Amino acid sequence: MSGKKANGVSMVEHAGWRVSAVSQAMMSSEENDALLEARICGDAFTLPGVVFPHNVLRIEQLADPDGGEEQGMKCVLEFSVRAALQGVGPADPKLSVLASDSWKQKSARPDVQHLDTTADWTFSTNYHGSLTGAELIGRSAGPASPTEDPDQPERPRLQTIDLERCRQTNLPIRFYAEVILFEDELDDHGAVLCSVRVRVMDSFFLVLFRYFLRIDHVLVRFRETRYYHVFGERVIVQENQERESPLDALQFKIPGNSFGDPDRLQPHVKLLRSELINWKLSM
Amino acid sequence: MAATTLSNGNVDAFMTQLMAENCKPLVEDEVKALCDRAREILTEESNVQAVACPVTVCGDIHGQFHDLLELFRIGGTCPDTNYLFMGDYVDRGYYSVETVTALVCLKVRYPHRVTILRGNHESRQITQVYGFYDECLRKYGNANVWKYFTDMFDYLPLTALIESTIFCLHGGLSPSIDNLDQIRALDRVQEVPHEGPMCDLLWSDPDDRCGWGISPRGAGYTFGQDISDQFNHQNNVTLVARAHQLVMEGYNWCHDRNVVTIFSAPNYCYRCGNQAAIMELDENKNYTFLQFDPAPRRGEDTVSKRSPDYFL
Repeated sequence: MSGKKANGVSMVEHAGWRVSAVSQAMMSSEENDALLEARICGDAFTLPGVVFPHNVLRIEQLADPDGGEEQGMKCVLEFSVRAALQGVGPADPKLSVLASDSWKQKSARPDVQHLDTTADWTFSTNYHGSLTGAELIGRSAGPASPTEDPDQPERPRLQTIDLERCRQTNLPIRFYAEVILFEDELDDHGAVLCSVRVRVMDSFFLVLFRYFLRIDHVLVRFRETRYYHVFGERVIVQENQERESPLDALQFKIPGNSFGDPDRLQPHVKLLRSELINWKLSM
Repeated sequence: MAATTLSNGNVDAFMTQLMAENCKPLVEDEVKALCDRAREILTEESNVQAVACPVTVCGDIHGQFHDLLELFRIGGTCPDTNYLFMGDYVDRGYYSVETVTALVCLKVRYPHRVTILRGNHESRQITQVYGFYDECLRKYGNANVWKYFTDMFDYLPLTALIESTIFCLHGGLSPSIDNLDQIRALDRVQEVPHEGPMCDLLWSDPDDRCGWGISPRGAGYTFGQDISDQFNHQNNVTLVARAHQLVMEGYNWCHDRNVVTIFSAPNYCYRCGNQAAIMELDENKNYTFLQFDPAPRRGEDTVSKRSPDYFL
């Protein structure tokens, strides 16, 4: 197996799967206007400051050359910027930047109107990736902690992500890619980063799609979706997690300059919701 | 070294040291002397600093020092080319210290040929969140250099006026400001306030919608074409040149060419893939935009290469 990279495209084929990642330049002013025109992001008047319109991560099953015509549907898992922006929900009216209190008093000026839209200026997306060619086995909307509630009816036992295996840093990474879908600086009031990472190991792949939000002095939010698949098995494990904490509560726990590093922030941020889903592959 | 003894020879030596292939930051005392001298020069400048043509107008640099060197290769070196920089020298890039040191050296060495305005990142508060403060700590082991620079930032002029016709500033217009005399009357020597006219000039953005708006995030003004029309007419200027916003092409007209945005950091944050631009004005006030890409440079890959990412 080998990884190839040309024109911002990198690709690998391994264990019956092809993983391809496209990382190209941000949108031109023309592309920005066209995306707005298409109302891709609800009634938002602006898109995130940096949108990578051509970026995509695609993970697909390869047809078995010896499999004959009886093969099932091939599974495709794709992360595209258009779908991620379409997943942006309505605005949370309670959320604003730190400086907004002093601004509210000034908005009494008769010549100043509030540019309220129902679109979410934080671009918090509910997107989990686009999965086709797999059949739902089951899902369990788990509590924040993994302790089981004894009163809950029996649920089908779902496979989980094998974290022990994922933590083994002695195993070689066969292929790695990070694809950024969009970013925003919230006009220097924080950061938004929506990206997807994949690593292909000899025996499994792991995907992390992450929406990260930091509003300076206000809050941090993570919406993460992981996909885990052991090659040769018929199951894809999906796990969705939402995390959120007020930022000043974290300030005391974390060294100053890790606020720009979502990986270092994430373990300190409170888990609000998690959901486990199993998908069955048909080939 | 006392401030008043900083000679042209000293500053030339600083610049030679900085511009060399493996740029080396100045030592702490040298930065102090440089900032003291800069403050003396900047104190004398107006909130609406008058600038003559020919001049080359530049937008955000954001600590991308190697791209600043490329900018000088494209636009010409000082003092052969006069420059007007519209703020945001620090934060986000890896070389804020080298970038702001070099620009302040140029200002001190050629005070009448170089103008450096204040951007919203030339502030104590913002630099503590977006990188410059941490970079100073990392490179000097203490916050003294950060303090020398941020104290000096308070003296940077807010706006410039080229040949009475092109109005230049970092952000945009303010609902509290109708004419340039109101800007001249501001007391600018202070940390950038959270609100009010001085804040607006460094933070506001043009918008497609008419009138004044407050951003849905709860802070920050936007202004429409009717506002820039009226401002330009009333102040007898033909163009507002501003920076502050990333644009893929490095520059972007809006409001029927009342306003132009100029952004001079190519491949912003080392990943956006955008072009940078500068605006050359000749002695007859004719403009030309020069676009440029990041210069290929040795050792850059070592910055981006990281250990294998065993993310979970």
